[in-house]
Amino acid sequence: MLVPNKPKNEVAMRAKNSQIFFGEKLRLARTFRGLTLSQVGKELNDIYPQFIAFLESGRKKPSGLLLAALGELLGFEVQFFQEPLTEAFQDEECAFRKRASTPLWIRQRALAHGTLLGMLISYLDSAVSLPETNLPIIRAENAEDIERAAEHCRMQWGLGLDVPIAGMTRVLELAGVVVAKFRDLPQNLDAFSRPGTRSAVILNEKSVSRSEMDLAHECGHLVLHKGKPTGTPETEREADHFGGAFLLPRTGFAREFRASGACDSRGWLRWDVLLRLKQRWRTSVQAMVFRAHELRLIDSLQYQRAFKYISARWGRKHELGEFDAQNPELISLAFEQVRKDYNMLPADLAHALHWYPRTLQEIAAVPIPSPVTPQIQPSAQIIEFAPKTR
Amino acid sequence: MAKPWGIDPHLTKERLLFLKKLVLEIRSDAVDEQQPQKGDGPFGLGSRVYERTGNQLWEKCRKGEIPWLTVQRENPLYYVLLIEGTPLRIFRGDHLRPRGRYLRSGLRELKKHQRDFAELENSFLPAELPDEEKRFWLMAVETDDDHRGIRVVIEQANLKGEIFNEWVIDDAAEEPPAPVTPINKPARKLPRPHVGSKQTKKRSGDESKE
Repeated sequence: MLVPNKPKNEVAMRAKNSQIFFGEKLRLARTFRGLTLSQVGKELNDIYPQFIAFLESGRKKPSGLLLAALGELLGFEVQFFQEPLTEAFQDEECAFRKRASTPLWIRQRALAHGTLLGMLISYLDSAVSLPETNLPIIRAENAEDIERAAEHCRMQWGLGLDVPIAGMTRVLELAGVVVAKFRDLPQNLDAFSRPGTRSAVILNEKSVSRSEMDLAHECGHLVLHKGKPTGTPETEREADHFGGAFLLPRTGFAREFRASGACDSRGWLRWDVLLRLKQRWRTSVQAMVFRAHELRLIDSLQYQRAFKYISARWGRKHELGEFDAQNPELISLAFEQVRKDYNMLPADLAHALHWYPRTLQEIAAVPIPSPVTPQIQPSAQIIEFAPKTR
Repeated sequence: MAKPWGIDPHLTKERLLFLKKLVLEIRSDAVDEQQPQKGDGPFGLGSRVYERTGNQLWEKCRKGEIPWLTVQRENPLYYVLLIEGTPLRIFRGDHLRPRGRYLRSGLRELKKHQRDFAELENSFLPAELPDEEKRFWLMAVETDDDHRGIRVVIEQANLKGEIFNEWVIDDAAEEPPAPVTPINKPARKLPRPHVGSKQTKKRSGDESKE
C-alpha cells in the first residue's frame, strides 16, 4: 500500500512557518499541569528553565518542533498556543475557601483549571442552549439578612423553606451555574467559585457531606459577594452562614431537630438521631451541630462537647454515614447535545478547542472514549512472503 | 420587599385573607349597629370590635375550626393571636403610624412568645438584636370616615416605630403563596438541568419569520 510521504508532524511544520505564539497560553498550560519551569525544561531534553520563562513572557518564540513538543507534553495542540488568551480566571475575582491557608501554587493551578473550564463553557454556551442564569444578587449586612437571603434563594428556586434538598449540584446547575470537580489536587484546596455571566463552582474531591456544604458556601459567595473582594474572615463567615441557612433552613431544621429528639432531656446529643438527620438533610453532622448552635437549639457547652466528641471519635474530615454523591451533569448533557446537533464526539470537541482529548477529560471530568483505531480493510492486498527454502 | 410568607412561612396568604375577611366583617357589623343618635361613639365601636374579634376567634379555635391559630387569653379583655406560634397584633389606624402602645404590646408579646413557646418552630430571633430593633408582626385595619374597614395591611414593626415588609392583604392573584409543608416531607428532588439545541431555536425562528 502506498502511503503519501507525510512530514513527521505536519502541525509542527505549520507552526514553524507561523510566528504567532502567545506565551500566556504556555504558562496557562504549564500551570494547569502543575509543572515547574525546570520540570518542563527537563522533559524537553534539558532546555534551560530561563528559556521557558522567556517563552512565557513573550521575549522569545519557540521553533515549530519545540512548540509541538510542548503541546505533546502539556496536552494541547499547537494552535492552542497561537490564539490569545481572551478570558482568564483572576485570583482576586475568585472566592477561594480557606484562601489564606491555600498555597499560592495550588491557587494558581486551580485558576488555570478554571480558565480552561471557562473556555470549554463558553464554547458549549455558543453551541447549545444551557440553563439561563438565575442567581439573585443580595447584599447582607447582618445575620438576619443572610438568613433571609438564603430563604429568598430557596423560594426563588422552588425549594420551599422547610424541606431538605436532594443535592446541591443540581440546585446550582438549574440556576445556570457550572459545577466541576478537580482531580489530583492536594486536599488543601476545598473549592472556589467565580461569578460572571456564566458563574462556575469548582470542587475538590472530598466526602459528599463536606462537598454539599462547600457548594452551599460557594453559592453564598455568588449571591452575597458579587463584585466584592472575598477571602477575608468576614466574607468567609458570611458564606458559611449562608451555606448553613440554605441547607438547613431555620424553619424546617429547628422543627425537626426538636421533634426528632436529637438532644435528650439531660442535654446530651444523640448521635444515632443526628446520623439519621444527616441522611435526610444531606449535611455533615458537624454542620448540623454548628447550625443548631447558631439557632440556639443547643448551648455553647453542648456545642463544644459535641465537637470534641466528633474529633476524637471520627476525626473532622471523615464522618460516618456518608450518602451517595450527586455528580455534575451539565457538561455531560451539553456534550450529548453537541453530539446530537453537530455530530461531534468529545474528541472532536477537544480538537475544536485545540486540546488533546485527555485534557478535555481532565477538565470536564467526563470519560471520553479513545478514538477507534482504523481496521485493516479486508480488500487490502496482503502479499505473503514465500517460505524461505534452503 | 418580601411577602409575609417569605419571611415567616406560617403567615400564608390564605390565612391572612381569612383573618382579613373576619376582621372586616366584624367591623362592618359593629358599624351597622352603631347608634350615634343614642350616644355611641368611636370608643365604644373600637371596644366592641376588639372584644368581638377575640371572642369569635376564641370560639372558632375552641371548636377546632382554625387549627393554625391559637388565641392566648389572660383575661377576657386581653388576648394574643398566635399563628402557629407567631404573634400577631391587630390594630386600627394608619399602617405607617402605629401608636406607641401597639408597638410596646407587639414587643412584649414577641418576647413573651419566645419565652413561652420556645419549643415551637420559628421562635428564633438573633440574640444580638437589642429590644428596639426586634421586629414583630402587626395587622393594621385602615378605615374610612364612617369607621368601616377599607384596607388591611400586614407589616413588621419595631419599638422605634419603623415599618418593614408591609403587604396589603389582597386576594388578587399576583403570585402563588409559599407552600407550608408538614414535618418530615421528603427531600425536594429536582429535575436534571435542561440543555437544549440552539439549532432548533434558529430553525423555528426562521419558520416564524416566513
